[in-house]
Amino acid sequence: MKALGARPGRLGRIVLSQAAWTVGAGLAVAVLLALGLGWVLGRVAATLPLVVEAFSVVRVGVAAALLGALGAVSPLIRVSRVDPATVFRR
Amino acid sequence: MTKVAGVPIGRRNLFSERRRTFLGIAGVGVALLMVLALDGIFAGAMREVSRYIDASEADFFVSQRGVRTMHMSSSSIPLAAVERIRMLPGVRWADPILYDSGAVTTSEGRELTYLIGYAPGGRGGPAPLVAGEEPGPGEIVLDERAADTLGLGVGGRVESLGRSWRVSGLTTGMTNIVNSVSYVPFDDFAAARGLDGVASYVLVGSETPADALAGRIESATGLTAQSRARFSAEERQRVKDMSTELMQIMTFAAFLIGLAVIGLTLYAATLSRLREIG
Repeated sequence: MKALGARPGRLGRIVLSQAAWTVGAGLAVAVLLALGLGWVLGRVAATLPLVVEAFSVVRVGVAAALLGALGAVSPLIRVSRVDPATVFRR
Repeated sequence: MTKVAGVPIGRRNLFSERRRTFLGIAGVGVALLMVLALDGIFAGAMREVSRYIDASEADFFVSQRGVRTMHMSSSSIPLAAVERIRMLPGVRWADPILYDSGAVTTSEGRELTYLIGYAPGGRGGPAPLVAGEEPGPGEIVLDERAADTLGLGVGGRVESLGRSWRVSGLTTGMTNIVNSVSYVPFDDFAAARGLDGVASYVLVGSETPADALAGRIESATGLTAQSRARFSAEERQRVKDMSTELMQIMTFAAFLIGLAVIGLTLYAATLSRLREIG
């Protein structure tokens, strides 16, 4: 994409949007699995209830989004150093 | 270059190789599940430890001045104060209870418990009863899970407060990760502990659940009065502060590990697409 003229800002937005999709979908999967686990635990170990609280989901979601964004954007530093011509030669 | 919105390009690129994308989502999902599950177990345990208070009919809990919890607390109130509370405007009913933490023991084992002494027929007792009946003299009501662990049913015998009790009934929902709740008659509890003319707490029902009543009770008696919600929150905070450091450490460790996994998953995912991006 960079070799085709995409600016670093555009690349950053693309990578961040991919991170947001991955974290968002991952969070949705995790919440559904946690609710399912809570349902199962409620039947097999009633003294050990699992309660999924909205505050916990928000806290974990925000932290995951920040760390995910950091993890996703950091490889772009390598991209910024790549000469587009070398990409075409590969 | 034609101006194309960044998000659709990113999404198209992301889902162009579905297996890679779904593995990334699964990695993030499992890491988040670990954090949410430990958070949820911690929250669930905290909710259960105040179950006796939350399930009570009382709008207010009155305790010795300065005592704000039941867990790891000792409260002593003269029974004369109960009469003064009953006379206050806005008070519908006021019932004393005795409280101590201890254990119920049989030859099968030992279960930690909160022991509640209450006047059978009054408030503060077991609700609901799933088997048997309220305790008469020399009788005790156990939580069904504690009874099951001890291999007991109605009619069985347990040791507690330094004497033997016959199990008259079973309640439910009162066993948590820390202990359970057991109920005996107020007078038997007082006799076993050598107490006379005192209660540990007074449960108060109000005509209208107004916070102003707590202030009136405190002014009239010099005791501490808290709404059920306040008392419950104080109880959970006390247990959290004193008993669950290990769980807090585990939860925090899971949080850090989960975030590290997510950061690395997305780092690896972006690296694997670097050629498309570059």
